[in-house]
This record gives sequence, structure tokens and C-alpha cells, in this order.
Amino acid sequence: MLLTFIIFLPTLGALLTLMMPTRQTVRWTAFLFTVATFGLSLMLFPTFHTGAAAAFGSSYADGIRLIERHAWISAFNAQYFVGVDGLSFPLVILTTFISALSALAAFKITKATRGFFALLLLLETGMLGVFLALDFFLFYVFWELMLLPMYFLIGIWGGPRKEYAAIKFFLYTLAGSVLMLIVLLAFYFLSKSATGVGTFDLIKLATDPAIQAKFANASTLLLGARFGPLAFAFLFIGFAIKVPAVPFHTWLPDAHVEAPTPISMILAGVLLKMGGYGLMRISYPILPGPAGSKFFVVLLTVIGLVSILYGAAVAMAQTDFKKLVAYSSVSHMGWVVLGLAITPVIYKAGGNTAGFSGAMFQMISHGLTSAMMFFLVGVIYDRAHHRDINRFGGLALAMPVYFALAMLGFFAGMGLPSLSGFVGEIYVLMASFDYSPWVAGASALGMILTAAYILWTVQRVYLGPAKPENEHLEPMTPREVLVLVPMGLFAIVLGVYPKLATMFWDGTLENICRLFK
Amino acid sequence: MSDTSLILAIPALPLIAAALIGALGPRVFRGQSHWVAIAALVGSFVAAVTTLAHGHAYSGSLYTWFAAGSLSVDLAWRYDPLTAIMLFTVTLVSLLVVIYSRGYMRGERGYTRFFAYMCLFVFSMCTLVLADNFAVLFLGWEGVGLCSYLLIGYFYERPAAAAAAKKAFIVTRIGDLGLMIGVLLIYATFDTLSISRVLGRVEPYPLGLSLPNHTLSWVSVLLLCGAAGKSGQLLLHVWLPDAMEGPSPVSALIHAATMVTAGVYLVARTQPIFHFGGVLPVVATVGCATAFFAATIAVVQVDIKRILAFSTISQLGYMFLGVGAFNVNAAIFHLFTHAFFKALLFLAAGAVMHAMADVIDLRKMGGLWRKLPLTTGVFLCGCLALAGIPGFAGYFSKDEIIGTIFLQSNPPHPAWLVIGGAAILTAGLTAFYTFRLFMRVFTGPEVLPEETHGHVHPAGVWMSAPMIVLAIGSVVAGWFGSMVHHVLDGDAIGPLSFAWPRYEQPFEVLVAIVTTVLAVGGALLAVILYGPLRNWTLNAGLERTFIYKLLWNKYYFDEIYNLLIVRPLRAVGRLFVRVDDDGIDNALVGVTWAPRGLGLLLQRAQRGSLGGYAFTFVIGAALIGAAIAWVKW
Repeated sequence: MLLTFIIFLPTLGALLTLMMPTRQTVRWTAFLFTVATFGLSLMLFPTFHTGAAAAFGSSYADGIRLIERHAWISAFNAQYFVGVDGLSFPLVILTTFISALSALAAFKITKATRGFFALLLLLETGMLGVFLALDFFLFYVFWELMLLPMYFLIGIWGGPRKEYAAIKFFLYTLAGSVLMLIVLLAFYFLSKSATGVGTFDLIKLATDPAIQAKFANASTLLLGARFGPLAFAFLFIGFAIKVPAVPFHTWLPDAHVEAPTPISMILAGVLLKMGGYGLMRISYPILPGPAGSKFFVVLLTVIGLVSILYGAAVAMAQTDFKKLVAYSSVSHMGWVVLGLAITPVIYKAGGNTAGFSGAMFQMISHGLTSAMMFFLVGVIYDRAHHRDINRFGGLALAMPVYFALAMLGFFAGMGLPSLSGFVGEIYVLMASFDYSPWVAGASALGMILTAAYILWTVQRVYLGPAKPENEHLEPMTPREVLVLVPMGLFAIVLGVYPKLATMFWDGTLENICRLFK
Repeated sequence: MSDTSLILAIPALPLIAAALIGALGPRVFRGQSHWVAIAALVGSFVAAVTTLAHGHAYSGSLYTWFAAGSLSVDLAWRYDPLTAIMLFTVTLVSLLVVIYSRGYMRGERGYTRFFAYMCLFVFSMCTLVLADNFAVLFLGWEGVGLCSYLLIGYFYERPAAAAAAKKAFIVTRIGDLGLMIGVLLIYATFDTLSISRVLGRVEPYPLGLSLPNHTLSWVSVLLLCGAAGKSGQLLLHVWLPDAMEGPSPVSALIHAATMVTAGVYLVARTQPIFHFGGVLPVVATVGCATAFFAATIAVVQVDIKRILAFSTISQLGYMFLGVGAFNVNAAIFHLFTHAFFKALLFLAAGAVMHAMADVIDLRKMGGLWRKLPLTTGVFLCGCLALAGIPGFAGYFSKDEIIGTIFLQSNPPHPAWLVIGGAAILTAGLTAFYTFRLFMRVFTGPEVLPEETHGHVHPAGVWMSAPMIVLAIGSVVAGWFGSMVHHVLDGDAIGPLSFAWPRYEQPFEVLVAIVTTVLAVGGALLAVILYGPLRNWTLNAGLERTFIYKLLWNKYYFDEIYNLLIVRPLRAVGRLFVRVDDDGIDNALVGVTWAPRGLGLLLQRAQRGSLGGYAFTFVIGAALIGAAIAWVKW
């Protein structure tokens, strides 16, 4: 029942929040519920803490823990099937962690507080559901569930162009959802024809030999084309929109620019990870054939590379601080796509799982650093009421504590060794070097562009003489420091001792990679 | 205390000091922060000397940093002769510089921050030279880069300092790209990142290694990129002169004595790879070209610290030349002596700035020896050492490098002769620009910049004492050549991780005489031109020539890079923004109009922001219907 509690505790919180009488009690109720959810998710640690092979199970299916399985819609065998393994566990912790911090960051919200916090909590339920659901139908429901609160959070509490941004976000995700829905139905009917009983069970779809044989069969068709490649393409587009990978990314800058700070933190810190998670949970295990085919390996590698370089180049040209950070997300998440893309090839060749490990590490690290960077932008937006990089300058003088934390956040994002960003990138670099030195070289070029746009930003925003309009910005409040410090600390800890994170997922990733053989 | 913990204390103490000052400095230590730093660095220095005296090599590992598949990156360290010399130099110079900083930085805003950064730097530098794993080396490598960035930008309210800090980081990162790919290639080739294991495989049985063609050459070239970036070698040197925006103690420690020598250290450490990759001649060529070109630029500059910066680039070129000429020993010896006299020159230049109200343009001052006798004295010691006047530190080490060049083959290959000739010529140039600087600043009629308003602050005891120690070092460091070689040859400290070719350190009489004549001649020429003659008219005439303009503008490297790299890159960024906003988005807006238009057509009554999306849902449902119909079960 632990997982169910974790998923729905925020919903309970949302209901209670709606009943609270004052703004102050609303805030605290919501915040305490996110903290309680975080605490509850920490109770998953005993399940995995040994880090030994036994904790991960002998196979992908064997590694699922704390399974809860109930019949749900028996007409088409949709189940309430939740469970946790090394793939979802770190992301669950990340979700509850970032949600709690963003609730704390949201104390500044004054407009319709009740609704805001209720939606925030509902969003958390949606996200946790996505990470914990092991039934595709349930996954899909949570996926859509998370969409609506997000739509309203941007559309109501957003900036000047909030409607445009919210609609764009909604449309993009919906387009992806439709493609996902097609594959979902195809999975059901094909598994029915393969075994007699249709299923949405993501584990069974990946491990049942009869179903796998049916999926891999060249005569299995979808919309008149070969099933495997088309299904993989559909799913990829659906998830790539979330990641977001170029060219499916243009919703992100707008959504971020308009979203209120706490929502940007969740959007970048958690929501983007659902794309990477979807690929690792659904696309790669269930469709290992297409995932390892030359066509998709090359295509995804190119998409990953382009995202890294294109995102960084566009970030460099931005004058809106928040948009710059948004594009840095595109660039950083490109590492995730690249890491995933090459893994089937290098694993089949030499048992190297570094691509998956790197993608996973990059997701966690980016979850911390991007949320940190968006909050950093939010802090000065609250004071200066604009985000024009060229109008800042000299903030280091006015706000020294803020400056110190900003340097930590940006350098962690830049991938300085001993901070978390470096580890994910070096894993992916090693893996891609195994695949092709040219790919590694090109992606490493992204590290220079990243240094360029981050340092240029630091120079324009924080350094130089303090402009008169920035001289009297008030220093950080303790609450703001409290939001940033935990993320900063984890960015350091994971950089200095990455094993603290990798020990929880290595075995699971290895088990997933075995499915490629 | 065991030797192992002593060795680990060398980086650990500064790290602890940095954390302490960082956390408690602003509230608790404040103006006394330097004591924390000094205490830690005294500890590090004592530990470095003690382990050196014990004379054993050690290695060990702390824990596994990260691991994936067959790769396991341990925080592995190794204490061997090369590391011992580096640690000795780094801890000694950093201790002296930090003591000096107590006087120099007094009253600056962010006083505590300065000492925290300095300690963090010493930690990173010690990590770099202790690392026995390329990934850990990279950790130290980027760590010193970060500290360099933070310290160049120490006066961050000055736009020039902020820009210089950024430039330093990005330019060295371009080199780091090469280093990083080189390290990946090492991993792909040897399946390990342990430096001693890689060298262990390369060094003894190079012919038995079955490697793909040119692998070692590629590795060497890539590592050389990283080394060149860090050590300001030609094409990637543009950041180092600008780095002088940092406070003078920073220039002395980081941008003269220690960090910039990391590139030399890297090449020296991995010399067998370079050797069997056949890339050493490239290293020598790069080093020689850098030494020469940087020296020519230094001849015409007027900013005291920038002259010294180009001099540093030039001297680093000598070190590369030494490694490239198969004489790692001489290169490291030069690194050792250079640390003394160049740190001294920067500290003394800092003392001049301190006295001259931060003015640093040598045209605005003159005859300072009356006002600053001590500074003049120590500066002269540094100049004599840098110019390579016989008996002073630079003379011995530079002479070894130049002498080696002519021993490469018998009869010498023409290419080596050209390199040797350039190296000798550079020695003359070095003496010339050094004494041009000395004469114009310290001799002649007294001229003080307006900014001083006639007040000259002489250096206090905190600043003077370290300068005196370094001045003594600049005079005598060269006499310890045999000791340094003794250590480097592995006679003092247990077995080396690998063996360099042992050289009876060359003393080519003819070469030594020519070099000495040129050095003394260059110095005398400068003394005559800028001393008694004070021939400014000659300068005025020269200033109109093309070659002078070329040198004055540092061969236009900044302008060329700006035109060829910076601007195109920004243009590409702007172009991509257009692609995003106008291209992809407009296309998508077009797509969304289709269902919207259809929706308006079919359901005119429908209004509200979600209308279009409900319609998209309908389209989606239709697609699904089609999907189900098409899938053939």
C-alpha cells in the first residue's frame, strides 16, 4: 500500500488545502503535504538500500518491488498495477523532493492561493502516478491527469502571454498523447492476438516471449506499415515532445517564460524527466528491436546531438534570462537522448550500460540544477520585475549570498567536475565514444558552448558595476535560501560521490539492457 | 603520522581551510582569515617537505568515484619524484603568496573570499599533481580552472576583470575539449584511466603494444591541446595576458608559478605516450614558436603585468621545448626556477602597483628606486634570473633546455638547428624586454603617476618578507639543479612510475657561450637604450613601423578570433532563434489553424480557449479509429 499512499497523499492534501480558511493555512497545509509525501517516499529506501544485486532482482520482471495489482477495468484488462524498481525509484524521490521545494517557493503566490496549491498537489499525484504505474493504461491516465493541472497552472498564474503558452503546451503534449494512444491500443490488440488475453502490463509486454515475438514479426502491421518501427517512432515523438528534443521543443521556452517560478521548477525538474522515463520504461524494453536498429540509433543520435548543440547555441542568443535557462534544458536533456540512443548498440557489442547510466544520472542532475536555475531566475524576477539579461549587471554586489548560490547552480549545470552535471555527461561521452569518436567529439563541443553561454550570462547578470536600478535589490530571504541550499548540496554530493545515486539503479538498468540481446 | 596520511594532508589541509573560510569567514574570521589559510599552507608545506625528505614513492586510492561496466574511476593518487617536485614548488610558493596577500589585499572588499579561493586553488593544484587517474587529474584540472576564473574575476565589478575571467575559462575549455577526448581515447584504447597502468603498458613494451595505427599520436595531440590551453601556448595563449586583471598575488601564484605549468606537467607526466606517438617534435615546435612570439610581443608592451604575462607564456614555451626535446628533467627544473623568479616579479610588480595607486603603465613612472629601494632590489634579482644572466636561477635551467636541443642528433637535424637558433634568439629578447622594463620603471629621473598625488606606500613587512625569500630563491634556485635532477632521476624517491631517458645534463660550451653573450648583450642594450640614453625618440620613430604595430597588437590574435569564431557563433545563435520562432513555430501555428478552421466551420457556436483542443481530441479519436481499422490482426 506504500506506493498508493505516496501517489495519493498529495490528492488528499489538495482536498484539505481547498478547505483551509486563510492564505497562510493553505500554504502551510500544501507545503506540509509535499513534505510528508517526500518523507513517505524516503520509506522506499529500505527496499533498495543494500544496493546489492539481490535488490534489483535477477531479471527486469523480477526487479519490481512493492507491487500492488488490482483489477480495474476488467472489460479490457486494465489494471491498477503499481510497483517500483531502480528506474522509477530515483525519479520518485526527485519528484517528491522538487515538489516540496517548489511548494516552498510558491509562498510568494498571492493570486487564488487555494486553487494554485490544490492544482500543484494534484500535479504531484499525476507525476508520481506516471513514474509508478506499470500498466500502460494507468500510465496513460496519469499522463493525461498531470496535463490538466499544468495547463491551468500556466494558463491562470502565468505571465502576460500565459494563454498562448498554456495552449501550446497542451497542444504539443496532446499531439504526443494521441500518438501514444495509438500504440497503446496496438499493444493491447496485438498482445490479445498473441496470447489470447490483451494486456497493458508494461512488464509483461516487455518480457512475454509470445508477445515479443508478435511485436518483432515483420508481418505485424500498424497503419499499413511494419508495427515495430512505426510504434517506436510514435512513442518516441510522444516522449521526445516531453523531453523536449529538437525539433519538438518549441513549447518549452514559451511555457517556461510564462509559467510562475514554482511551476517552472517542476516543469524542468520533473516533467521533462517523464519523457526520458517513458523511453526507458516503455520504448526500449518493449520495442528493443527497433530501438537497436541502425535507422533509429542514428536518427536518435542525431536528434540528441542536435539538441545539445542547437539548444546551447540558441541559449547563447537569448536576452530573456528565463528563456536562456529554458534552452539550456533543451541542451542538457539532449545528453539524455544521446545516452539512450547509443545504448542498444554498445550494449550488444560489449555489455556497456554507460549510456543508460549517463542518461539516468543526467536526468537526476538536471532535475536538481534546472530547478535551481529557474528558482534563481525567479528570485531576481521577483525583485527587478523583468528578466532582460542586458539590464542586469553587478548583482553580485547587491546580493552576495544569491551570487554564491547562483554560481553553484550554474557551474553544476555547466558540468564542472565534482558537481553533478559532470558525471552524467562523462558517462554519455564515454558511451558515445564507444559508439563513435566523432559523435563524442561533437557532443563535447556542446560543453564549450555551454561554458560560453553560462559564463557570458554570469558576466552580464552578476558581474560588472552595479547599475543604479539594481543597487537596492533586497538580499535573499531565509525562505529563498532554504529552497536553494538543498538542491545545491545534492548537486555537490552527487558530483563528489555519484555512487550514492547510481547504486540504486545500476542493477535495474543492466536488467533492462539485457532485453536488447 | 604515516607518510600516506601526510601526503593526503597536503591537499586536505587547504580544502579544509577553504571550507572553513568559506563558511565562517564573513562572520567569524573576517580580517583574520589569512591566519587560517597560512596555517593550512604551512601544514601542507611541512608535509610536502617531510615526505620529500623521507624519500619513498607511494600510491593509494580513496574510493571509487564512479563506475560503469568495465570502467571504474578511482580517486587514485601517486606520490613519485615528479609529484614531489611539483608539490614542493606549489606549497612553498602558495604559502609565500598568501603571506604577501595579507599585506596586499588588506582592506579590499571580499577579503575572506580571496583566501577561500586561494586555498581551494592549492587543493585543486595538489589534486592535479597527485592524481593517478586521468579523470581525477581532470577534476583537479577543472578545479584550478574554476579558481583561476574566480580569482581573475575577483574585482568583478570591473567589466574588464569580468570579461577576462570568462575569456580565460572558455579558451582553456577549448583546450580541455581536446584533453577530454584524449582521455576518452585512452580509455577506449587501454580500458583503464589509471595513469600508472596506462604508462606501464606504453613505456616498457611500446613495440609489443598492438594498437591501431597512430592511436598514441592521436592521444598525444589531443592531450597537447589541453596542455596548450592551460599553459597558454600558441593559438590558445590569448587568455593569459587578459588574466592579469586579477589581483597581483593571483597572477604570481596561478598565472605564473603554478596553474599555468599544469600543461607542462601533463606532457611531462605522459611523456612516454608523446614519445611513442612521435609527437614530441610537435611539442618542441609549439613550445619554441610560443617562446619566440611571446617574447617579441613583450618587447613593445607598456603594461608591467602584461609584459610579465607574455614573458610567462614565453618561458612556458621553453618548458614545452624542453619536454619536446626529450629532456623532461630540464623542463621541470625550469618550471622549478621559473616559479621563484616569476612569482617574485609579479609580487614586486604588485608592490609597485600598490605604491603607485594601481597604475601599471610603465610610461607613467620612472626612477622608483629612490622611493622603493627594497622592491627595486628584489625586482632586479628577478630580472637577472629571468634574463638568464650567469649565476642566477634562470640561467642554469634555460641553458639545459637550449643545450639539449643541439644534442638531438649528430649531426643536428636542420629543424632542430632552427629551433635551437630561435631559442637562443629568444634568450636575447628575454634579456632585452626584462631590462627595458626594469630600466624604465626603476631608474632615471623620478616620475610618479598623477594618481598617487605624491604619496608612495612602500611595501609593509607582510609583503616584503615573502619577496625577500623569493628573491633569495631567484638567486640560488639554479644552484640546486643537481638536487632537482637527483630527485627526478628517481635516486632520492623510490622507483619512478616510469623512467625518462636519463641525461647527463648537457653543458654545451659553445651553446652556453652564445646564449650568455646574447642574454648579456640584450640586457646591456636595454640598459643603454632605456638607461643613460633614454632614447624615446627612437621609440617614437619605431612606433610608426608595421612590425611595431603588429607586435603592439599582439599579432591581432584577439581580433582574428573575434572575427572568425565569436561573431559567427553568435550569428548562428541568432539564426537558430529565428528558426525556432519563425520557422518551427509558424509551421506549427499553421498546422493548428487547420483543425481550428475546421472547427469554426463545423461548430460555429463553439467559443472558449479550450475549443480548439477539444477539436484536436476529435481528430485524435479519428486517428485512433483509423489505427484500429488498419491494424490487421
